[in-house]
Order: sequence, then C-alpha cells, then structure tokens
Amino acid sequence: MLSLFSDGNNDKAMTGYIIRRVLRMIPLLWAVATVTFFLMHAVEGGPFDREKELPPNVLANLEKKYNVDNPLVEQYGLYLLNLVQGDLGLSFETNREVSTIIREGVEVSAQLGASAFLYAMVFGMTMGVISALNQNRLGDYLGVFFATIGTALPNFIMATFLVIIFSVQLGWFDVLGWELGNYRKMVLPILALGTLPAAYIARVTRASILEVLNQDYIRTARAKGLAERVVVLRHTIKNAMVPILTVAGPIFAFLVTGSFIVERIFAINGVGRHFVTAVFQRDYGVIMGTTIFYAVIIAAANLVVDILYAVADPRIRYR
Amino acid sequence: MKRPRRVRWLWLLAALAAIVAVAFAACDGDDDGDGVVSGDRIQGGELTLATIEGDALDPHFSSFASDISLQRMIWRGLYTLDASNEPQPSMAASLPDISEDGKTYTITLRDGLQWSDGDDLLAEDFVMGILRTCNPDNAGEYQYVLTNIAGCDDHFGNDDGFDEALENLVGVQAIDDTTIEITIAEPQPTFTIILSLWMTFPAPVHLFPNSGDAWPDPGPSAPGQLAFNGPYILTAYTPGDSAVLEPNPNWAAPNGISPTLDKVTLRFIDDEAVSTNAYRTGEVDFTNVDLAQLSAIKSDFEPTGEYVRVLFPGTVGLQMQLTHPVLGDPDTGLDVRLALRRSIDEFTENEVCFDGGRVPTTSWIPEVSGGHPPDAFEDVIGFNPDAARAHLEAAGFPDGEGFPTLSILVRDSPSNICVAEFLQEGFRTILNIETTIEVVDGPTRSARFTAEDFELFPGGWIQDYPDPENWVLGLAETGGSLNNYNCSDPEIDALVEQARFNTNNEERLQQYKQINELIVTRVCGIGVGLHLANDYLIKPFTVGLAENARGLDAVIAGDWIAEAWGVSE
Repeated sequence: MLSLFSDGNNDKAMTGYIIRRVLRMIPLLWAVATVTFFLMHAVEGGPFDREKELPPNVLANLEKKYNVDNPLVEQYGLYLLNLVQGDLGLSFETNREVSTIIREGVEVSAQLGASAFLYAMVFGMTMGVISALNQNRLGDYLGVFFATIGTALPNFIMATFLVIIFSVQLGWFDVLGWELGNYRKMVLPILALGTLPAAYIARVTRASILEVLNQDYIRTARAKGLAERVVVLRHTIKNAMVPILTVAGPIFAFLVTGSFIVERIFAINGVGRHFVTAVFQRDYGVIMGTTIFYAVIIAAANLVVDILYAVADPRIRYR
Repeated sequence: MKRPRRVRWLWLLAALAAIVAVAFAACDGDDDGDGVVSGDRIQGGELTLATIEGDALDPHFSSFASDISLQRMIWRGLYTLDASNEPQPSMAASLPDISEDGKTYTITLRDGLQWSDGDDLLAEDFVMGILRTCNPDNAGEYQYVLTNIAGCDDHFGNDDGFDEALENLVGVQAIDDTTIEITIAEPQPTFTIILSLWMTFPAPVHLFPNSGDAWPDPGPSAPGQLAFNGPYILTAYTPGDSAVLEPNPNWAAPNGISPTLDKVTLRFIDDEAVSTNAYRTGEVDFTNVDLAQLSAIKSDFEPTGEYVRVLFPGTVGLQMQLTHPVLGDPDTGLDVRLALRRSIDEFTENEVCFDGGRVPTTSWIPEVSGGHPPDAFEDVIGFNPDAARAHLEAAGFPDGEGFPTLSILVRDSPSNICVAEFLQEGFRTILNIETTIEVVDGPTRSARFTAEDFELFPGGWIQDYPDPENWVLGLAETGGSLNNYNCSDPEIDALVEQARFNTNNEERLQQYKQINELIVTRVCGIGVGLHLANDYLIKPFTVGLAENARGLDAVIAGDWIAEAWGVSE
C-alpha cells in the first residue's frame, strides 16, 4: 500500500511492505492458475487434436500418458499439488519439462527485452526531454513525429520493413536469430521490439517534463540563478520521473517476457513464441507454466516500481 | 471442355521435368536407382537447411513430418525405399525370407553393423524398436501401422498399460545376433515397406534395455544420450534454434553412398516467410517456399534454377458428412454431392487461393501411389456448372429451391478461408444455394472433425507410405477409424476385404484402383480437388537436394537419402 508516511523509520516499514506484497502474490497466483486451468480446458479442441487425426487407441494411450483421461477436478488437484512443489509439468507437444522450456526461452527473451528496454528508455526519454525543452520548435516537432509514428506502427509491420530493407536489400543485418554482442543479430530485433515503448516513453516524458517545468520550484531555481543544465538535470528530470517509472515497470515486464511477433519474424527462441504457440497447440503444460510465469513477472515488476517511487520521490513512504 | 487438357499439360510438364532430371542425373553422376550422387561434389563443406522443428526425437513415438525427416538422417531401418518407392535392403542383408503362408518374415542383418558409439548393432536392437512402438506407455502415434504384427495391438490396447506377458506375445524376436523373425497375423504384401518406416527403426538395447525406457527429449543433452545408425550423427541440439549433424563414422553405407559434408545444420524456423527471407540473405541454403510469395519467388528464382516444385502424395478436397440427411440421403445424396463437387472450379481455386501451388485432380489416390491420373474422372466429377445444376435438380432441389443452408468448417488461415469463400461463392452463383463459413483454429477444427461435428469440411489425406492401401484402410471402409465423414458403401467394403490381405500384388493393386474409382465417383465423403506439391528454394552449389527431390521427401528436398547431400566447388 502506498501512502505518505513521515516517521522516518522507512527501511523497516519498507521491508514489511515487501514481505506483505510477496505473500499477497500467493493467492494471486492461485487465482491465475485456477482461472487459466479451467478456461484452457473449456476451449474446444485438445492437445492431441492433430491436423491428421490419431486412431482411437493411440489417443487413449496419449491421454493416459499425460493424465488427461482423469476427471478435470482430479487433474486440477494434481496440477496444484505439483505446482506447490515447483513442478510445472511436461509439455504435451515435446514431452520436455515446462520449467526447462521457460528457462531457455526466458534467457533469450530477457536479453532481447532488456536491450530493447534500454533502447526505449534512453532513446524515448531523450526524445521526450528534447521535445519538452524545445516546445513548439523543430526539436519538439521531431520528437512528436517520432512518438506518433512509433506508436502508430505495429511491430509486425516495422519488423517486416526492417528485414526487407536492412537485411534483404542492403544486407547490413541478419534475418535470423539473436546473439548478444553480435550487432548483425541484435539491431533489428531491438528496433522492432523497442520502438513502440520508446515512442510511448517519449510522450510520457515530454508531458511530465512540461508539467514540472511549470512548477513554482523550477521558477524559484531559475530565479536563484542556477544554470539551466542544473535546473534540467537535477530538478526537472528527477521530479518528472514518477510518471515515467509508472509506465516503465509494465513496459519492462512486457519486453522481457518476450514478443511472439518479433521472436517469430526473427526466428528467435524466446518464451513469447512458446506461449502463443502453446495456445494454438493446446499444449496445456506450457500454457499453464508460461501464464504463471508471466503473472510472477508482472507482479514482481509492479512491486519494483512501487519501491522505486520512494527512491524518485522522497515524500513517498510505505507502511 | 478445356480443363482436362490443362491437367494433362501439367502432368506432361511434370513428367518432362522428371525425364530431364533423370537425364541430368545420368550425365552428371552415378545413379544406381537409390539416389543421385553428383560427380562434381567436393569432399567437405557445410549446409544450413531451414526446417520446422519437430516435437520428438523418438522414432517409436513420432508422427510429425519434421520429426521423421530428422530421424531418417540419423537412424535407418531394415529396409529403405528407393526412388521408385520400392523397398531395398538397408540394415538387412537382403529382402526378407517370407514363409509359405506369408505370415513369418525372417530377416538377416548385414555383417559388422555398428552403432555410432561403437557398440554392435544387433537383431535385438530391431526387436526393441518394434517392442517400443507396441508398448502402450510410449503411446506411439504410428503404432497403428504395425497393427498386423501378432500381439502388437493386444499390448498397445491394454487398458493397464505395459504388461510384460503381453509384450512377450508380440510377434518379433531375435533368433540370434543377426537374425530377426517377425510374425504377422495376416499375409500383408506391403509389410516390407512397413519395415522401412521410422516406427520400426532400431533402439540401442545397450542404452535402453527395456521397451518403456524414456527416450531423450529434443534438448542439448540428447546427442550424448543416444546412439545412431544412420548416415549422420546428432552432435548438438538447441531447442527452438537448430540441430547439428555430422557424418556417422560407423555408417554402413548399404547403398554405397557416404556423406561428404562435414556438417549439416538444420535451422528451425516456424514461418516460411522468414526462412524465405533468410534464403535471400544467404543464411540458409534451402527452404520450403512461402506460398504467399510464390509469384515473386518464381520470377526471381526460376531463371536461376533455384526454384523446384515436386508433386507431393497428398490430396485435398471438400469432405462431406454423410450422416447429414441431405448429403447422405440413400436416394438423392449422391446427386447432391455431385452437384456440390461439380460446381467447384478447382483450377481457378488453385490459382486464386494457392497461387497455382497445387495440382487440380479428380483422383483421390495419386497416380504415383497406385491411383489414377488427375483427369481420370473429369467427366464424372469435374467442374461443370450445367451438370451441377442438373444433379441438384435430380436431387429434388431445382435451382437450389428448398436446399438447406450448409456450414463450411474451416481452419483459420488465409488460404483456408480463401477456399471456403471460393466454395461459398461457387455454390451461390452456380447452384443458388447458401452456405455459412465457420472459422476455427486448428485444434478446434480437428476436434470437430473427430467428433463428426461438421457438414462440409475442406480437408484430405497425406500419405504415410507409398501404397494405395494407405489411402483406403481406415478411411473408406464402413466404420474405419479415420472415416469421420461416414463413407459407407457395400462395394467399397467388399473390395477392401478382398484387397487388404491379397498376396497377388497385381490383383490387389487393381482392386485398390477400383476402390479409388468408387470413392471418387460416388463422392464417398470427399469431393476430391487438388493434389499437393512441395515448392523449394535450393542454392545452386548444393548437390543431392534438387536432384533427389521427390514425393518421398518428408520436409527437406531429398531427405529420404540425405547421405547424398553435398556441395559442389
């Protein structure tokens, strides 16, 4: 819970606050797991409904093998029992441990997502600051133009154009894969994934900085004769950070958990691709595992953002 | 009617291409009938081939084409199919010795066979392969192909799973280290073909002593946990990314062909649009073509000879639910079905929805698999608006009057939706009848098909093994396990009974031809329309891919004889 708090014993209060938030994640995850489990089974079609139909006795043995021949409630109970022991089960498609699939995918998605996040934050905030400091001038128009284009252009279109122009036509970058440190495999996926959030951050930054620039304390700082650089860096940007952090948390969670579109277009083995593919294949194990994983990441990202509020704004305290 | 002539043209062109390919092979390398090995290849080199990632490495479980493609590179069975779809000895020393009653197969292995890890490859390994497929706990998706092996069905169908006593009754045993004896329930002319298929590949008993032992899943540790007897060994596997193959030092080279490449990388790419782009940038040397770009690809790559089309043994059309009171009416149903089929212009459909990527046909079984030529039944079921209207009138629905609104169930993909809309428009303009289109995703469509919960359903069949029985058994006889459209025709049933275990091969093939004719002309559950084709892009410096591209390919051109792949200077 976020509130104004002024007794000065903030560290202890924050620790308690974090513990409570973590404990509250348990019922949240249970709810997510339960809703996902029953929704998933309510959808028509199952993991063994193939393009080429399987004979009945093969189907029966597959259902036995993956315990989907038991009553649904029994399957649910068994899943929860395994879940509390940290066992996310097996993929119905590949028979591999879901936890292994997620771990492998997350490694790649997190690298790509973190890189895209870095690009989005640095480029987006830079564009936002330039826009705000040059309101209604060329710099502002450029920033707004970027923000508008970046927001309007879906990443599958951007990724396709990037590939056709910079890979197929110019040969500057590779079409396939992701490899940390190899610019040929990094630049296009980062641009495709990070441009939309960069544009969004640019808009939020611009609006937030313009609001702060109109505050009395900025006027006071300028009246005191502080250099414009100090006014901007120390007083304006820091105070404009709260709205940016508010959107940065979900953006970070969104980016590091993978993007089906970008991972598919660049043939990157990330977790986003697994999640969407699993839904289309009715791979119950992977659907459950990735959904719970996403719930954990989003809850954790929100918690981190709440904590960072206090860092950015000393008036915010926790109890 | 001009359309039959067009079909003939297509087949003539295909035949011409085949003749040119064979002539080229004869001039350029040695073709012993098992595949082309070009003379200008170099020793060494690497290839990177785009493919879709499979689901499993276990040949006794797998059903996906991409699984089977990889498995045929790293394992081989007792027999292998040659370019003419004829079984040839592979790990076996010769064709099987078949008992007089046709029920006992005795097979002797070649001398000195070894697994890639140096262990001897013995008869017990082949026995274990079959036992694994028959083990219910492994839930092998192609067990049904082994249904004729004595005791295999009994074990596989056991409600309580694995049963040692039942496994002991499965009709396969190692007589000694190099002799295998297989007992089948009924004489089966195609059984030697079956022994070339992946579900009979050997399992290394020294690594998996029991038939229920877990086979490694496709992951980084898999290569170290397996042994191989195919032309290549799996040296690395990165899920979602790639598999790396290198030549097997213990490959027996039964066809005299050993790999010349140092390395083959299978790059897993889900989307053919992506792999086509990667082909253009040189990141892969082979890809299946993105049909949405077919015109551009033909224009760019046909002049360079990099674009290759190969007829594929698959047939699609409009499947019809014969339990529906109108479609399956014993007196008028046939006229209704003929009216629907004859109002489908499969030539235009092929151009509009597949950019010409398929082959219009009126035969269910492709000619290469023992069926008829594509235009064989053009006069009976081919596109003919006047005949279609006449059939509908004969069924009691003149100008579509009183005809119920039927639903077309279709999977959610651009080409499938295109097909449904094409059919809908044809039915409306030619027959004056209305249909609705129900778009669902793949699993839902399959579940509805299995539950027989559909009226009209664009779909078909892809061959598992090259024999006409694979196009009939389970699919066309009354109560067949895959006969979800409920084709039920006493003449077909009688012919299936006669053909199934007929050891007179010529007569048997003739019977299947008759069945094909009955399925087609009685529109027994399907109004056939298009044969499938594979469209490839292959770099000109590769050897053995384009030359060996055939209907035997699982996914990659010439993957039925991957040992013949190489690169030229």
